[in-house]
Amino acid sequence: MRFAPNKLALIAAAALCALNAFGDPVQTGEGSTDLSGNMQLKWLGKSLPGNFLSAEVMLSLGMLPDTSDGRFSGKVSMARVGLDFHPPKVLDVKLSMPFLVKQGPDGFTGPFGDMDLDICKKWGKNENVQTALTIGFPTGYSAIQKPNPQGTVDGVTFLDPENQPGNGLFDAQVRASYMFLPEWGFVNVGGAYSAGLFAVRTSEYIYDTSTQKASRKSMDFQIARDGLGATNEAGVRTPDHISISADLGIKTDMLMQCFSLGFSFPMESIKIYNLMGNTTQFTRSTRDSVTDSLQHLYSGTDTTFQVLGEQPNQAWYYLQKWTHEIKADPYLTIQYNVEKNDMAFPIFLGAMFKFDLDNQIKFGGLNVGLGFRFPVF
Amino acid sequence: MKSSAKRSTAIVLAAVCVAGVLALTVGHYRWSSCGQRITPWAAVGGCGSGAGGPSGDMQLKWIGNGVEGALFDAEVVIGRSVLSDSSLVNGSQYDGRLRLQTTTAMLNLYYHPPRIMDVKLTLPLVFKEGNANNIKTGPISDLSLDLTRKWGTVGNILTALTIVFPTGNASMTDGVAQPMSSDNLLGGGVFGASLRASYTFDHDWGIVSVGGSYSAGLFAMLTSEYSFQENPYYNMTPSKQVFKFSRSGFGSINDAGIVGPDFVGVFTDIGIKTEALTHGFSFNLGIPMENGRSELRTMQVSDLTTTDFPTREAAQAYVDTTKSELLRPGDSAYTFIVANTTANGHWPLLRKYSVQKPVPPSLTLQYSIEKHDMALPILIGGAIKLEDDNLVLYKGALGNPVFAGFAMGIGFKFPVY
Repeated sequence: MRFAPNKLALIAAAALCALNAFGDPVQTGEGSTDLSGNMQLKWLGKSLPGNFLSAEVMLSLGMLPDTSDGRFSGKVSMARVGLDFHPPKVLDVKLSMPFLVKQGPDGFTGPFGDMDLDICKKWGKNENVQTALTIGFPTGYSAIQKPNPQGTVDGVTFLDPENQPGNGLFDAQVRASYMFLPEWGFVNVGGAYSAGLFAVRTSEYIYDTSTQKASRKSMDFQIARDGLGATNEAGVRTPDHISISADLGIKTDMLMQCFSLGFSFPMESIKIYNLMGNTTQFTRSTRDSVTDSLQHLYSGTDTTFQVLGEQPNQAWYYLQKWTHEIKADPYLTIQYNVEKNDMAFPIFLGAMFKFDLDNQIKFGGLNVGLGFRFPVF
Repeated sequence: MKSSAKRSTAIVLAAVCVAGVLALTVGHYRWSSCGQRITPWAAVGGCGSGAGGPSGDMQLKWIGNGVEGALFDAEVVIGRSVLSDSSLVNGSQYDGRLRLQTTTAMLNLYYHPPRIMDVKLTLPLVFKEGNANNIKTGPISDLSLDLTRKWGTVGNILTALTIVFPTGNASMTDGVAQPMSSDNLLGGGVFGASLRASYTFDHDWGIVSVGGSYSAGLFAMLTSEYSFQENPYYNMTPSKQVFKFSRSGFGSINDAGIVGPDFVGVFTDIGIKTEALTHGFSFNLGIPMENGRSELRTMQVSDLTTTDFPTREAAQAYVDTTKSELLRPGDSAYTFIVANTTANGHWPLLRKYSVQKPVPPSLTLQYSIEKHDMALPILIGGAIKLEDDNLVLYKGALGNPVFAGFAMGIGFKFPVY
């Protein structure tokens, strides 16, 4: 038993040697946008060599444009905290959690975004192939209700997707890239496919007699696929994205200077399943007859009705459902960053621009950030 | 001649004292700069992440070595904090909505006179944004002076007194002469004090510090008279303020009519050293001594219907005795103040209405790292605040914790002299 510490030291030393056998490790990170198109700076540069567990903190500020005249519709302040596990010769595993504040037309929301688990496997040394799987968990709030003009909420109307901190989906991204590492830096080219898969959604609404509004009866874990996209609890279909990227890193004595170019193409339009609670007066005696009457008023449209309960004075509470679609544009991202060479505490400084490609190139947003890495174990 | 001689003697004595203190100080600084540490964990302590400002503002606490051997050093912590908004979902849960975001730059100046005490002056620069109409306020919050005395080296006892000066504006209106929500105000509006004591265990692997504090407002500049202005609209403005003892139950009242409770704080700070970093953990429990605070909501001006009062005092006495007749049902929180001048022969009356706003107990959890550096250490940290909507923490336990706020920040320390 008394030799146990020495054994541990030997195992640790062997692990470090095995890790260093890969050479100077370079990190290119996950995609530069998440499934909803939110920008996130990716750390391009050297990772911390020789550590089993390291941490990364990326502080960033993103601005989303309103129109082309220079106004901004939203702002995202984020601290993305990541933990990197580097078990030697096996996989690289990264767990990241964003803490954020989204500021938009409907106020401030936050403070958690969606957590990601990234598992990456690398083959080769100076020329290597990487494959990775990123699984997203809907830890961020994605169904924040929108208040009506009276300042109350009805249980079924939600803020715009841009104002929701999370996308409400269990999603996945598969990624593959080829990297070569000349003496002067690195070049990495790759592609990825991102898709929402599952969601926890309301399966049935009932009428709450105390609040006289709709109330969730039950929520289920469901397959959320909807065409080439996935729909969350707030009724927003987020399209799948296919993307390609090219990263370039150039070493200097003090710094690593990196450039990244990405292109992402949505596989579907964004579809919104609108739901609105309302009250109407009908001198009908049954719920079905009221439903038929409401449906008759909107015949020829995709609007449907579900009468939930009867209120005093022959009033009925009902849910009105309809959909509308918003075109999702492909977009281009350009990132530049520098990383200060430091074996114990590298510092990252970067900026990213996004351009929407809607028959013409439109400025789609800006993100600037400051990051730190440090060994934990 | 005698008085002149006395004055000269006093000046000489003062000069000798100052020179003596300077000589001791400079000598100590030189000794410290040779590699000896004054305090191995100089930066542990302070009001910290759980400090309850007028709106429960969150501040990151620096846990780490800090700067070593300097007589004067400075600290800048730039942070962003947010407070939750559960008002639309019954207050007992959280759905992702935030009501206020605060950007701060805390400028701290430390003075370490040898073997006496540590002195810290804090100037907080604050920018607040949020609540109704998305009001933006800034830039200066309440100044504070912290005096800390430590006994012992490896295991030591620390006592501290923090004095707060109401330099942040605490009487702002929202543009239509209505008081602003206390969330958006920049300061507490009272001269306050906080007493703190802790016990610290210093080990090779790090440090553990356990302690408690009591914070209370004591004095305030309170308006004693209002003057009436007919133009541009009927309005009352403060015309006379007096420095008064402002205690009210287990709290204190400021000029905006906000009664803020005293706070009892219990904290545990843990620092774990590694080769390059210090990992810091802080747990801070804040217990208000009152379950709520009274907050001014409306100020309305109306005329007294009688002109039979020769003086303001007589009119005020009449209003005080007949207050119940002036009240409408449910208006028990109204107070009435008579202006110091008449208008068209009438005594204008200011009606102030207060509401009770809950102040729940809170638990703040902080994690930070400090990068070791003799000249410019860097701190990065985040904190999360939980509140108890059932207010049962008042009785000693967190019953139903609800997310209340979040803060993140980056800080730097550097020697000045």
